[in-house]
Amino acid sequence: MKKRRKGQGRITEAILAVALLISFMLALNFIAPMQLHSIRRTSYYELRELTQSLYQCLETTGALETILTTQNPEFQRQLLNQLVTALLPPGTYYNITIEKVTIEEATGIPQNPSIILTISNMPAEAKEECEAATIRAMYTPITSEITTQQSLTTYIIYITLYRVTE
Amino acid sequence: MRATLEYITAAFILFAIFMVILPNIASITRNMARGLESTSIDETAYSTYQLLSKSPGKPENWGHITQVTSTQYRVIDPNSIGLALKGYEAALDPEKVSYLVLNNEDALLIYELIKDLGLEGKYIIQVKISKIFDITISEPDVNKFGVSIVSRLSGMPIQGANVSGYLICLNETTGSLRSYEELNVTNAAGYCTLTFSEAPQNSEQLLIVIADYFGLKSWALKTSRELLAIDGDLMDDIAFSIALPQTLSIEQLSNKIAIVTCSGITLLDKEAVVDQLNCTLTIRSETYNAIKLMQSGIEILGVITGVYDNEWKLFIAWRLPINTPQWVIGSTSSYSQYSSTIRGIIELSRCHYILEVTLEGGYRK
Repeated sequence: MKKRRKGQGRITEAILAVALLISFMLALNFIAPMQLHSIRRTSYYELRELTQSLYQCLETTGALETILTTQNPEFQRQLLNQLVTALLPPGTYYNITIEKVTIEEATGIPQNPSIILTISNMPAEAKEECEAATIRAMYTPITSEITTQQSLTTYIIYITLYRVTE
Repeated sequence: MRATLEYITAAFILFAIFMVILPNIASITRNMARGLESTSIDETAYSTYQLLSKSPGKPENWGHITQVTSTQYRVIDPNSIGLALKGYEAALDPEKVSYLVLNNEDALLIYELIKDLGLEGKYIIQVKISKIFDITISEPDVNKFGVSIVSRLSGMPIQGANVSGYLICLNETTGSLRSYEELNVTNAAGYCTLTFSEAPQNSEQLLIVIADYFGLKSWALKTSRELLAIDGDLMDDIAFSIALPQTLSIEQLSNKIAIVTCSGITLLDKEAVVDQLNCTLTIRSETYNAIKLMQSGIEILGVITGVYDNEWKLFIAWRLPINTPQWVIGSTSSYSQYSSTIRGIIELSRCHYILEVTLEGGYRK
């Protein structure tokens, strides 16, 4: 009688264990494709290409020159914000910093860096959940001043684009 | 005996459970593989985008016309795909884009892409070139047009864009053309109006709108009636060739042509070189302006007048497609499990466009 109960107990345990395994596997099977189907995948690579495209647009269209030659810093910020917002897909955050440096002809090393403009629409709390792509480029406007000490004024542009990870 | 029966029952139950799990094991493994595949599809989409937008292909001037003999010309076929203008990054060659538009049904692009990237049979590839701004033109009043500009990337209205409107009017008695120009700036809603008060009313018209926002340019057309479209091509730096419909004779055309560019319109009264056999008309321009405009590669379209059904009409011949060019490689009816899209801004004939490459994979036939 005892042996029979022991055997029945083993069968029940085996069934329960396997049922647990099946339900776990089935749940996994449902969740995995949902992640792939429900959200349009936006990769890091697209973010990288958008960062590069944005810099190229700012440089080749002369927009950067227009913005940098604008005297009013508030208007500069407003113009850059307006342009960048128009060129990025919804859900893409940005952080752009423009640094002014002077390059001595003798050494060729950038000196006296000073941040002249920073714009961002990045909410502080979202930063940790985002993936980012950055570009750093040196830009010398056509109208850039050459001082008497034979140094050239130039700008370093930092563009970082963020997108919330899925 | 009972113990044996219990073992047999247990074995039977386990076997039944195993049979139930078997198909699910296959699908779980498939999902794991899909996860790995989706990472590689991003990389492949990026490589495809880079190849199309940054490489000029081989030979570097494919799609251009080369002179074979004193009278014969030939289009250079590509050995390897790449749409970039030689020596430029992020600028596409209009000759290469035209070549692909004209050879849309050709398997060449498909074959070359597959060959260079090893995509054969793995993915559906979509390549799309669309204007950077959506420009909508309305006509609230006679010769008064409303222009609305929206960014295609952000979906936001464009405030502060410089809008140039060129209205070409046809004199239906003489067949001559006249152009009118108006400028305005868009408001916070991305809207502005263009009023051509001096233009004649009720004439056949073509309005070309060019929007310039910090040097980013896009354009749109509006016609008073449906224009008659004919094939046009830039033969070399100084000639614009138009292939005429068989129903229209050369004698019925005026030799006045308008070359419309991003910076304005040039109306030309020029010598027309007529090829009766091939039914083509080539307008050769000797003026400095026309050569300069054409060499800078910014021409959008040519407009010519002619008699059709006993009436003077406007004929339009464009080198670049008016509509969005799109190439799809692979069967779209397939069931796609994952996809990856790479978008970027590119320059084409001094205007700006969005180049979009989408790869879809894991499809079932």
